[in-house]
Amino acid sequence: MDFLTNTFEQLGFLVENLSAFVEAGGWKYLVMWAIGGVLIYLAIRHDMEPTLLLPLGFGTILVNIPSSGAINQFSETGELITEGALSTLFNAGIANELFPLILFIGIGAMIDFGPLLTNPKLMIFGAAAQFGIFFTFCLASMFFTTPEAASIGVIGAADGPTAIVVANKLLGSDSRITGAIMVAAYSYMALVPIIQPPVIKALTTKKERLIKMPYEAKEVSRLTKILFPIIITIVAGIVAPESVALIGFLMFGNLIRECGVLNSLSETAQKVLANLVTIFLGITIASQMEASKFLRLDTLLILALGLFAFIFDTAGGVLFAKLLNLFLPKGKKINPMIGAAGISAFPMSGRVVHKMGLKEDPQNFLLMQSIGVNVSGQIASVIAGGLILKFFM
Amino acid sequence: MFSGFNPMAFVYNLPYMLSGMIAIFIVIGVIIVITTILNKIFTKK
Repeated sequence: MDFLTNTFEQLGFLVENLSAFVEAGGWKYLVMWAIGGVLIYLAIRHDMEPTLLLPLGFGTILVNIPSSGAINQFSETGELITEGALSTLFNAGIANELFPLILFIGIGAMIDFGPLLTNPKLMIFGAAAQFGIFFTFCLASMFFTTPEAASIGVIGAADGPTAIVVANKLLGSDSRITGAIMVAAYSYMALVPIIQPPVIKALTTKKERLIKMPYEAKEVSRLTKILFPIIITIVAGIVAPESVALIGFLMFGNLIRECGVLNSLSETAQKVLANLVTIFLGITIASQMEASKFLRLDTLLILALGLFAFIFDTAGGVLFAKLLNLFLPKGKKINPMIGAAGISAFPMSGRVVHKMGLKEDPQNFLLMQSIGVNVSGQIASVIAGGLILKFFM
Repeated sequence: MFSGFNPMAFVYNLPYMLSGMIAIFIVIGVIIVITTILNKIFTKK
């Protein structure tokens, strides 16, 4: 009998934990579990950026278990009770911007600037498609402080690492909205195939979408490919020294790729390094998705503004191409859809434009041009992030 | 954090949008020029 009583007494913690769950606003945890579930569903069922959305989704569930040991827990007096592994990872890799920068080495090693170097003029669309960043900043400034609005605008860079670095530098890693900005940046990157096509279609006529742009394959010398990342780093560094780490790590990765004597390192950076950092990045960002931080009016507003940023980026690129067409002779016109690829979501955005071109006309191949523009978007978004830092730091 | 609704902030910050876009076009323009020059110098004919 004593044995049974002791057992029931010991199991009392279950009831205590359950009541704590309800008292602590259990519905909020349920909502966060549902959000985590949706992210996992999108990653697995629809193959949307699974490398990021899956760890993010699982991490969301992990940190929203009451008194979760995965993140730091504090007493009512603010004393640290439990040190969580995800909080430790966050401080070690995100708060000091180390993970996004290391990931940039991998991304740089993956990028082939060949299509861009073949036709450097395409780079201008990368600049035009950063319009969403600055326009969203203006929109966000109506609701948020200037540094917060600037960080929200950079969601439009469609570039997770840049968004993390800018938000950390302007707001600090412990800001209540930093988590929402990171989540929005990565989630919308995954949603590029859903967000961009309707915007492109709304802004172009069928005739414009049918414009063919013959691709002339030109040889680019090895020396040009080697000098390009070095020159970009110097130019971007002089204009916006705050962004030099971002652009420098990206270009360092590319230099490893193009130098021709570090093939083994290039392969490691592209695969092992990028994969390792991505695993930790997604789940560590999730440490910012605690219900108390995430389920707020701010978050909904940030998600909405992030969506605006992507839409206006796309619109900026497309409308700029249409503007150029007004001055170009017949036969030299640009398919305005490629302007939309000027965002940084590489290579998703380039592929979206290519597929849309094929859908209109199975003989209209825009892949090389759209990938070239997409690559320039990667460079331009980092420069835009640097300019934002220059303006507001 | 959400700090109320201030529509004038939009107008006040428009110059940042203008200078940001001009700056990015200038930087990208410089990169285009340099890349074109590199291509002309180093590409074998």
